[in-house]
Amino acid sequence: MAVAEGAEPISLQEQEESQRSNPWFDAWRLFRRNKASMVALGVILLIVFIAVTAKLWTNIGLIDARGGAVARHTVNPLNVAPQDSYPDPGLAARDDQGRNPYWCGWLTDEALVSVQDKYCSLPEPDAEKKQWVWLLGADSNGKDWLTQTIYGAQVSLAVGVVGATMSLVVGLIYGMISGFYGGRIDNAMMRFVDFMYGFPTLVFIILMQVYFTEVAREYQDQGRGGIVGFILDLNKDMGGLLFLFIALGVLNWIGMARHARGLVLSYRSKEFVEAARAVGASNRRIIFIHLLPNIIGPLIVLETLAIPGYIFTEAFLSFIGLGVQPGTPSWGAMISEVRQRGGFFSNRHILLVPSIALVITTLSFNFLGDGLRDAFDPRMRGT
Amino acid sequence: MSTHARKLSGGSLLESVRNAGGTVFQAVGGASMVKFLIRRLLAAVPVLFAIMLVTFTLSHLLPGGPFNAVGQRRMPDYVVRQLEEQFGLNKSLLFNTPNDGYFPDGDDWKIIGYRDEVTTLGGSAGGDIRQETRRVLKIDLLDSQFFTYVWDVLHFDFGPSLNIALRDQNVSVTDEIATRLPVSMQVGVFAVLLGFLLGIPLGVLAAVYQNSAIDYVSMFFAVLGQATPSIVLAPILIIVFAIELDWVPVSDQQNQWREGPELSLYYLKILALPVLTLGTGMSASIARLTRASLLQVLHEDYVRTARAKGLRERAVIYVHALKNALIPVATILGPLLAAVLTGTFVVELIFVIPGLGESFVNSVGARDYTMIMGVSILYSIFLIFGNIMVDVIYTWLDPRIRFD
Repeated sequence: MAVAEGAEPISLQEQEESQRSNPWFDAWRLFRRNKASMVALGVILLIVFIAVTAKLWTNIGLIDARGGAVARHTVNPLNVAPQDSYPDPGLAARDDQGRNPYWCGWLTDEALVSVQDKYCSLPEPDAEKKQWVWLLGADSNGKDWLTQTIYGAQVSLAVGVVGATMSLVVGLIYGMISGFYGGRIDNAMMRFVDFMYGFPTLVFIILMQVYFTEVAREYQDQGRGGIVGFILDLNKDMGGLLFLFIALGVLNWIGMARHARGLVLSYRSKEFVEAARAVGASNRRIIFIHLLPNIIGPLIVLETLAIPGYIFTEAFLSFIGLGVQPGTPSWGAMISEVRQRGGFFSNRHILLVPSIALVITTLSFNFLGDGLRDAFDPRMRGT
Repeated sequence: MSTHARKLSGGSLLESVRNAGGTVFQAVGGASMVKFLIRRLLAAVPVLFAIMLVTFTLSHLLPGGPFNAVGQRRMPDYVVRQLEEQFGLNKSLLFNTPNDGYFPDGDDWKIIGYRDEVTTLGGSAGGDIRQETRRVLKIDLLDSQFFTYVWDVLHFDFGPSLNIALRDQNVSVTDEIATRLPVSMQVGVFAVLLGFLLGIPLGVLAAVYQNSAIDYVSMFFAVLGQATPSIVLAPILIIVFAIELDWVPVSDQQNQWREGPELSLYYLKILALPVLTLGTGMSASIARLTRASLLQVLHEDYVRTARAKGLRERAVIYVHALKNALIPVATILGPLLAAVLTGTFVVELIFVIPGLGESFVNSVGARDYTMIMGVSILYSIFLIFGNIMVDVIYTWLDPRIRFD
């Protein structure tokens, strides 16, 4: 008796839940069960939070985006053998005990002993915005490595998210038009996609980036007005990201357009679409109410899984000096700097920082994508 | 169809050979495949033309030229002009319109006036010494840099390299590619081999022991491998194996890459790290794909039938299931080819391998137009043929898919 009484409300509740369930809610419920994906989601949110609030960390003095003359006095961990030519920070910076209160970052023990007294002194850079610590050391220009890593997250995330969004939007619209209207339009549009499919993407991205970089450099020398000047200014303010977005976006929507078209084709002849058509639904209604909610899920999954690709491309381009503008922190540029300064041979931790950041980010997006795929398409579970 | 044909045929050697050929022909799709191949190859022609057009325009739009690129020693203007005249860079870019100032000699074209052609003979601080010749003004729209280049390419002449280091030695783009492509290919081919040899067994293991520790461990490493880009993996491998353990050299010190492959311990040593860098990522995606595909196939009816008739589990998996499970894996060859191209850029830069990727990056910097074009065309051809090959393999492996 008691058992039956207890059972009743539970079944009611279940019914209630199933009534208000929709595909998105179901997907979220499935996704929540996947521990790895939930952890990945948490990590991504954390990275996003750190990247977005980078300014805040600067203001409270944990990190410092400036470098150059002010911070040059810190030790250069990439060049750990203390050089005689290295500028002495000056005794004025030291405190009453003749020592500087700032920590120099991670150094090998010998290096620490030999250089600490000489170089760890630092003049107070700015009374209001002082940096407490160089947690992970600094680069050859004295820029804090942790700061660069955090600002590098901004670049990687921006490239990943914007690249994926652009490709999703363009590919979705293109693929839906092609798949929905079919016939001659479809034929022409898909011929164009096939056509673009033979283009070697990376070759074009490199060529475009070189072009953009050179144009931006010329502009710096000469100055230019009008719309071109505006775009160049905007790109400069974004640290070269605008042109990177353009270069990445030009060819990457192709695969997405193919997928979107395939999905539209498979759903277009389903019963529920024909039923909607039979009761006189307009094209717009069929597209936005019936088709879009069904195909958007798998496409979002595909784009999430493609995000690491965009991040890799940006890192690679920055690695060969064709990515963001010099001076803009980027993980690829950081790894490249370590390599150029012979960082493979000494002070490897400095190489590990951007590497680990890069791997954790892409790993998280991979797990997130897997979780989303399982959630949106339960048939694919565990595959 | 093919078995039927075999029954009817006689016993002579010639006929059986012809039959065997026919069987293979039928197996790969017969007449429909020939039609398909022809159609695809014809479709590739405009794509290649467009790629040439876009690459050509884009590379010539880059500020500076091969003779006054950034970072080069500045040459006197008249030398630059002479070089441009020598390599035809003084012609108009895409179309030779009358306003562009260059008019060729020809017989079939309408004379629209006269003009003075200027040839730079030399120069000094006082100015250039020029020779002016009065010539007939004619229109030949196609006598431009681009169409001259296309015409040369149609004759398999990819022009001389404009790179400052190679120009004086008269090295043609074809020569340069011929020496560099095999180097890139060695790394690429071994990486693909490693990818398949490591990826497929790993994927099969993970699928067979689904949801066991083996599955989780191998899939974790697969995801990790997929998430690790070359620019991260290569430095780590260098630090661990080249610097710390000192098993292999950081990069080739004996000019082995240029002298060609020679099976020796040293060759394997310099090959190891680049191949490992490229192959790890590949094997990771192949392993995941194999696992997913095999798991799907293991739920098919015919696998249940095979089990029901009492076959051993090993026979079910390796004979019945795996064959079909590898179909999607085969189709990854196309994207893989693109990945090899992408990957070689990084790997060649880090490991200082004199391959094509390195050459491309350098030639973009040096505004070596002919080299940029040559490498781009080569990559496009690879890509296009890779895509066609995937379609053929797909149809060959799965006869339910038809070419039409």
